[in-house]
Amino acid sequence: MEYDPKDTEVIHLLRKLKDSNGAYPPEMLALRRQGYLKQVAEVSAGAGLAVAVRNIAKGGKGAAGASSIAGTVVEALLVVAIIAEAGAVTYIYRDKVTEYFRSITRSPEVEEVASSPVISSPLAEMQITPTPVFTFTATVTVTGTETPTPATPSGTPSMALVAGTAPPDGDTGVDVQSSASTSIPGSTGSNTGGSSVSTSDPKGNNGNHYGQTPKPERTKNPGNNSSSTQVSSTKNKKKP
Amino acid sequence: MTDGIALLKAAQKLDEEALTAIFDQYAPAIYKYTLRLCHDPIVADNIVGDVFAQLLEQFAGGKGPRTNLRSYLYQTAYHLVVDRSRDNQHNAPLEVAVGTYEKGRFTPTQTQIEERVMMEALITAMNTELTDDQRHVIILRFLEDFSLKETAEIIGKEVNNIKVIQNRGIAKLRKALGLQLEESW
Repeated sequence: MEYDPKDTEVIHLLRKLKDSNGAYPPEMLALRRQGYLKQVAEVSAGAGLAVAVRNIAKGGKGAAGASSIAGTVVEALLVVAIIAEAGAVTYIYRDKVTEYFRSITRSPEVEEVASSPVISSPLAEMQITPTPVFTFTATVTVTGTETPTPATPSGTPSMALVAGTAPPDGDTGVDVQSSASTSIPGSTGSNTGGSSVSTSDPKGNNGNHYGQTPKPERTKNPGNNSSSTQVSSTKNKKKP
Repeated sequence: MTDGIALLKAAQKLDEEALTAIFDQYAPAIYKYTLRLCHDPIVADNIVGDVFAQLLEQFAGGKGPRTNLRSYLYQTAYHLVVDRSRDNQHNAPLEVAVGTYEKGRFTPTQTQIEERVMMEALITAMNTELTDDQRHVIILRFLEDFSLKETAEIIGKEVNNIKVIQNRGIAKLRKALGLQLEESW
């Protein structure tokens, strides 16, 4: 490469600078070389190990062929030792092992209680209270002139539980009556009249009706004129 | 060249003798090159150690240079120097870089004194006037005798770019030397 004549002097100086000493100090170089050789030995050993592993993986023989027999023997010995050790451990902890297998095979002691299925119903919120309701069925008798506008029946059929006294003919006493009430326009809803169903005739049997309890008969001795009530009453009498 | 290739192939197989021969052949040169760049003997020594450690790692991993081992070693050293100079801006005294001119050994002649003044002026200019790229190119081209192509490989730039960097560097040195020599005389 041709250089500019003006640069020749600079290049000449640079060439001289090249020959200048900048040598590696011998002690420093020796230490560095020692460290490097150590690294080389490590890398070579690692590479040798890798090559040996590769040969074993390939199933190669040769130098490793002789050691393969010894390796097989050692392997067999190791297997025997492992089996013997496992047997000893099993014998020592046989109770725990037995308990463990029992716990595995045994059915669980706690029974699971499944909750009863809840049937959802659209009428779930509707609750029937068995409160006896006394209803009076009223028979409305309309008398008077005819009106041109007939009453429009309105209302809904209702179910009512009627609890009454049991009729003597063996009835249960609870009747379910279905009645359709018709409201009259203008009426306040009060009964204007009607007949009520009265209790059937007991036919001489008073039963335990209130106010109809038979009075016990008085038994009075002929000679006994004093009574406890009379004594107490005399005691409480105020003196005038 | 064939010896170099045979040595490289043996080293790729992690042959200890080949690896040792490579160290003996290139370690002093790499040290010198590194010392010129970083001006610190201890740093230069550490960089030499790192260069050859990386080379071993590459060979162990089945990688590394295939053809030009020398360029590869200089390239590794160059990158390590650049990395270190980013971490720590450190300049050693000039005497370390100059090196040769040991004082008190003999009585220098007038010519030798002039030459020494010129050399010190050159080194000062290289350290102060040139950019990093220009200094690296000048060192590789004129102190390590690498070709333009090899220098381009080491620096990681095109050959034409290396030419431009080299010419600009030389021009700067000429100018600096002229100024310094004018000042000194």
